Amino acid sequence: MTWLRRNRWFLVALVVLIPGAFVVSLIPRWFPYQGAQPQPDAVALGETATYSGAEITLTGLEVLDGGPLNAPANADVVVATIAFDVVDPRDGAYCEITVVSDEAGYERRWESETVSDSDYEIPDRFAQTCTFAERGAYDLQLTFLVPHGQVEDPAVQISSSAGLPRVLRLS
Amino acid sequence: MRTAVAVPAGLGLIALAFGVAFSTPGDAQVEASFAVTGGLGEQIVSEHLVATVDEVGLVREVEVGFWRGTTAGIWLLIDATIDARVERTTVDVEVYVDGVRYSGTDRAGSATIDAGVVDAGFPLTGSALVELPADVTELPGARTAVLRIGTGGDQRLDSVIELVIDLTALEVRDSAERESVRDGVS
Repeated sequence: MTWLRRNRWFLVALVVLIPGAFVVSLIPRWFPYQGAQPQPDAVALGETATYSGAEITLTGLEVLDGGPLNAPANADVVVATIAFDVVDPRDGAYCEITVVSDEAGYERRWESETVSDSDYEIPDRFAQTCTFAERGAYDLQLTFLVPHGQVEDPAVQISSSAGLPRVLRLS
Repeated sequence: MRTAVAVPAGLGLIALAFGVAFSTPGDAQVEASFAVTGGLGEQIVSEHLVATVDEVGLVREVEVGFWRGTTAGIWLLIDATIDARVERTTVDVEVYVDGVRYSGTDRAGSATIDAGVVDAGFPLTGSALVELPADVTELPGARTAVLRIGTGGDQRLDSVIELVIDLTALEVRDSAERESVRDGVS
């Protein structure tokens, strides 16, 4: 009887136990960490998704050349228009909207402007702050400065503390 | 025979236990930052930042924009272009000499790149200033000072950019002038 044959069951046990020990070692931190990462839910322009108690529709998404708009050097302006209809208010839930692009080969994000740094003016009929706290419908428009010529096909990401780890990725 | 084997084996196991105890990493090692290293003129990319340090020097007095900096010590003047890699982040510059941390000065306000905010794809070019002891070139570790560029706050287990600088090899100038931080690449 060869050594391999004599010890085959121990070897089989090792093949099972070593990967098993590796997986068990990931349980305390790695799996909870992965579970807490944002889980994007893709939604096409014009489609409505329910998120954090609201019906949300991306109604417009444009990348404007920053030059004619007197935007800061090396910047284009992304204009996102989003319809919100809050049907199940979530008091205290924060709302964050960013523009996301993976055109650099990895994902980059930009925050919205709080004060316009270009000649583009958001019409008065649009809200400029998103909220999930009060029942009712409103249209929101936000502008974002992105590097000139580097963002042509962006997406808008909406996240709410009441909806995480799920986030909406509208484009 | 068994005793002859058991005693050395027992001593060996005790020695092994000491080895394991002394080689177990402490908090400082377990929680250390992940440093991406490079040299002057190289573009160095961390998880959060993209930085190119063009030049470093020691100066006794410096003017950055309209701000004039004097010190009882000496300034480490760092000229760099820094960009965010993924998203908006702050820039934090510090220097370690023999394990002692010296932070970038906030006395120059927004004229320096330190403590500024960068967005992805919008590099800033400017200077950072770190106030060091006047005799820093004579301190132990002056030949292997570490310039660290990170995002500030808690940097444990975080990605940072590091350059090793030989402070003793730097020319000490009486004064230097630099522009305030500006958009774009130098």
